[in-house]
Amino acid sequence: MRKFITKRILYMVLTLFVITAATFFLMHSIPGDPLSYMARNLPEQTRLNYYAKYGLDKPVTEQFVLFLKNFFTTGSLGESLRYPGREVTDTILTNSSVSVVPGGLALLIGLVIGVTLGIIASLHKNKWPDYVVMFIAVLGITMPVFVLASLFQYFFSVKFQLLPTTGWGKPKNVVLPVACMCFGTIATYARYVKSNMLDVMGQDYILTAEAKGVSGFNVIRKHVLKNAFLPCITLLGGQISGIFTGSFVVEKIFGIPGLGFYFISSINDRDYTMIIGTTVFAAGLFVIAQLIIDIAYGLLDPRIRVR
Amino acid sequence: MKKRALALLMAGTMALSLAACGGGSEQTTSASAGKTVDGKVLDADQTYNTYLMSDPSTLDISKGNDNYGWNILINTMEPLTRMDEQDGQNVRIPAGAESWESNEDGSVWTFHLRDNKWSDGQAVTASDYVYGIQRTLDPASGSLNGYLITCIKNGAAVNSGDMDPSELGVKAVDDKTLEITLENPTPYFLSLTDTRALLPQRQDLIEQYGDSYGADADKYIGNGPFKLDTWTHNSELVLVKNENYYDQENVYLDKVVFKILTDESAIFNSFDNGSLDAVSTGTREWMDRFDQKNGVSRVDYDNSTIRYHFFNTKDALFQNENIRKAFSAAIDREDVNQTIYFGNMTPYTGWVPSTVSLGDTNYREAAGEMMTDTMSEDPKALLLKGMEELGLGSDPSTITVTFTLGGTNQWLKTYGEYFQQIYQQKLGVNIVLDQNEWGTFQQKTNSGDYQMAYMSWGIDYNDPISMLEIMKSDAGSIPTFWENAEFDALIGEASAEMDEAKRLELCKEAETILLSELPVCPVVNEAVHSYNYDYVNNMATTPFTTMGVKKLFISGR
Amino acid sequence: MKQGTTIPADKFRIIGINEQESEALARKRIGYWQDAWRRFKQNKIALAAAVILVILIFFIIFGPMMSGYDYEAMDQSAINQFPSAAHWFGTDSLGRDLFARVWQAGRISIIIGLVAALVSSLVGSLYGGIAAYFGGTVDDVMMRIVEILLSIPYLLIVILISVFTDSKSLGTMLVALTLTGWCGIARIVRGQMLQLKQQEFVLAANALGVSPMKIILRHMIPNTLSLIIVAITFDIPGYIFSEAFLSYVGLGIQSPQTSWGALASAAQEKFMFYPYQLFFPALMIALTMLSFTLMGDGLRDALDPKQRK
Repeated sequence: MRKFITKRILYMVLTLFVITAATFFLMHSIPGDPLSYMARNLPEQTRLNYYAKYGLDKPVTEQFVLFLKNFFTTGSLGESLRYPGREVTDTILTNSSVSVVPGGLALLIGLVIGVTLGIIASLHKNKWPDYVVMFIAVLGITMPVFVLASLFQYFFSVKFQLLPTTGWGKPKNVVLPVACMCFGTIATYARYVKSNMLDVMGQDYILTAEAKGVSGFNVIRKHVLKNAFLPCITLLGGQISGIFTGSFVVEKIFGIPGLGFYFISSINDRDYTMIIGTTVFAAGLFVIAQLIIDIAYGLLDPRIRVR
Repeated sequence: MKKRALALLMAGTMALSLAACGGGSEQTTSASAGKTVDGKVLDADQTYNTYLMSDPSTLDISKGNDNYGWNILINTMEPLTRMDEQDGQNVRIPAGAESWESNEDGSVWTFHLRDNKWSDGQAVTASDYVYGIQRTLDPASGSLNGYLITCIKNGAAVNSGDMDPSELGVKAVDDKTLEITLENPTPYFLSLTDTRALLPQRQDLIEQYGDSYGADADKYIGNGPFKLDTWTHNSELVLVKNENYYDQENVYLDKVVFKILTDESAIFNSFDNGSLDAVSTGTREWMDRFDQKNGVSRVDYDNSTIRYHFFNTKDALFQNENIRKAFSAAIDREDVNQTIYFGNMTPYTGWVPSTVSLGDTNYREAAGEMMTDTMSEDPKALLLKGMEELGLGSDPSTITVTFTLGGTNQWLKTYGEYFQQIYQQKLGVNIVLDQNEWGTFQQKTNSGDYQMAYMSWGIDYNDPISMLEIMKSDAGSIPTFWENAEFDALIGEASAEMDEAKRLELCKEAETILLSELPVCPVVNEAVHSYNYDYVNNMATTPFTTMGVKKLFISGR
Repeated sequence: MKQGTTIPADKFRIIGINEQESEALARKRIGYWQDAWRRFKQNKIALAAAVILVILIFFIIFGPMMSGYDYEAMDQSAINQFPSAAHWFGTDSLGRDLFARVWQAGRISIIIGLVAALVSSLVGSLYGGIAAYFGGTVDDVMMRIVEILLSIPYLLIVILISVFTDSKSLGTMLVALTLTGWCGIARIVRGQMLQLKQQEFVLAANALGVSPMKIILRHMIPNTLSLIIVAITFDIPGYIFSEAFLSYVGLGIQSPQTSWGALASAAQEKFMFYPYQLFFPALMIALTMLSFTLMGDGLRDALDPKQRK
């Protein structure tokens, strides 16, 4: 086990390095530079001064080496180019701690509702509870988030004035964003749990257990649930790392100062340091989540022995 | 066991979502409550709620350069002068400077500062201005505003690193006297006194905070009517009244909340339900809605931004003047305004925006209409003439023109589709739309990899020169690759001419040359339609007003 | 004893025995696909979903020609009209007929969804299968590649592709969407296959010397099929959504082409004034999503050999 984890951590570092390098060179190869957001051509001297100040006049490889050196000596991802004076690391930490609130709540609520619906559906396969449950589960994801969010905003805060249109900091600001975000989770888990439950219920060991006279409830509890939840871990890992990175659309429409905004805006603004920062952050979370999934898989599923 | 865990999880979720429904609001009572201004009694709550469409990049005066930051700076800083308005006309009034004078040829300006304090109580001195100007021009600060004040003596040399900032033509004669020497007489110099480039800066704090100065509320200081209280990045900035401000008895608002809202419908919805006190929009439907709303007033004025098409004069087709004329004459600007802008812009055929003044007179009124000749001609005939000159035959349908657009939003798509059809109808040519993400657009146009493109340009300071000089052969601001020595010479003369009447003639002549050769083709002058609830008083009504929200007050919310 | 348990003897009679037929099967032999089809037909909801889908596809093919308007033609005199006899779905802000546009957009959206989902599930399941089958270092390296691909900012890739190909055509869109799109399926398939790999029939095939490719294709993929189908049915609308998101951030399909996502994001800004402009494309997206999902559920049940009863 220890050997496995050591190996995976080594892989992880390597993966992160490749991601960083690839992103670094990709972002420098797309047209535009951090002055693009100004939407006009500045006089040459002004541009040169700016490039020199932020080291953008150097060759890209040299910039990459400098970035790595800076990161390994000071732990800093550098200063945002679009928002001078802000440390990329600070921005990421501050904003992801905002994103995590609606994201985490949505995941939690979605998970609870989704799993419950999935279990109900699988136990009543092809009877009306199944149909109703699956219909509800799917209904929530039949609309793109930006449509859903606009509809919610219109009805709940403009038409009926129940909740604030936008804003952050008050508990009621969270309600609509969470509502928008949890539908996807509900549908995903309802369907996966149902599908996996049915899969597992068809397996021989369940038949055996039933044949041996284990009561229906106990079969479900002891054998089905555990095995049915396993594939969900793959999903959960990705989603947990996702709650820190936020949702661009929901944050934009509801005016939430989360991290999701920066994933899109940094690219539009060619804010190089921020692009790298957000990418490394998201990739790091993702890679760590993968590692945890794999370990969890090994621990939970006796059929996969981690070697 | 598992069931219990599930139940606990459910309960936890419920508790969290219940907790999310609580919350309350606080009420503040203003010190100026009950006072009477202009015959109106002030409310107890003097809070003004407004918005910015993006987070300011930074409040560091030298480094920042966006309008969002400027909205905060103009309320938290005191420039040398401010542009006020009286009966809809702009008037320059003393602000940070009590009075000023220039020598005869307008090359040395002396500003006498009034007693004002920074929000921490320290006095504002002439050396704060000297430091600020030096810092902006110092190449080491990488400022994006340096080019605005290269008219100061040795400005260009300092900005390019050839001279030390100390050799700049700015001097603190004493604590309260600032003397600025210019490279050449610059008639429009006063127009620069309420821009970022000439604001005072605090050396001690900037050195203390280093690169992070201006990035957070606690790393920023001002000397204006308000001070920055909190700044939640990408969420909101809260300004409160600055008690150390010299004119604080004439500041009525206690609190100004700038929400950062990037989504348009979110902004309009917020105004609609009263969480914003003012909004500006060009969307017909929202305007209709707000027009019908009780207790809301509307202010309309032209902005100082021109939306235009520009041509690649190095292109095989658009090198021809008649072709360029044809593509300009084919545009029915009134129809563009109706169809694309729902009648909310001003159809425009001039290059200098309608609001710009030269001295005390409105430039456009004095200089008159432009492009009247071109517009009276038949676009198809112009096109055929141009095609003949280029030896392209007489069948317009053989011509395919790429219309390059910078931006990928829906509106721009509609814009392109409109022109695709118009040019097809009026000229019989085929138009291919090339919608690019901005960086790509910039690269394409700057490298001459385009034929015709669309852009807008907002003026930096209130003078025709600001708009005209960007078309000089060496400016590189708009990549038309158009060069005209006569135009360059006229701009050179106009920039140094102190006599207003002569300068008007020079500018007019230059603009006429520009718009008869048409490397750029103005389409509309932007207009602002701003709505505010009636309880907000003293809203600005001209684009060059730099009073911020200093004069605003709330009565009868 | 109890009365009901006695069976009268006259209920029985001797029918004899045909020696020749004793070896024949009592029931007609049904193949895997026939059986699946039989079970699919029994699922009323899935069948209804399939019918809706057929109707949608009918309109997508013939709809643009039905209203008598060209989807590109602007009409300044008929801007933002509500649905009427002349314009069944109303018109947009340039006076274009929305009925024609919605179906034209459907072509793009459905093609994007189908092609991208098929390509990525094919690539993804092969990739995931190979990684899981070989395991060890091969698996490690292959999964790290997936992580890298998933972690490089998606928009960068989209921008890069559109710059590189200098177009935002359907083809470019498909490349951009599938370039990293298969990674999700690869991971799901791999997870499932790691389980399968330990099962007896795979061990048996291995022991019999069946080639790895054949084991993956013949044994492991069919047994992952139900999972892949669920994934595909999620992916088709998923890609339609992804395209919609790209349209929302302005990187979607380029004019004069349009998609449901592009129509919806165009209508979003003013939907409180012209709700129908959002309603029709959103309805089509919802119907597509719903029918693919429900049909996928039906297919899944039908195809899964373990669900045979």
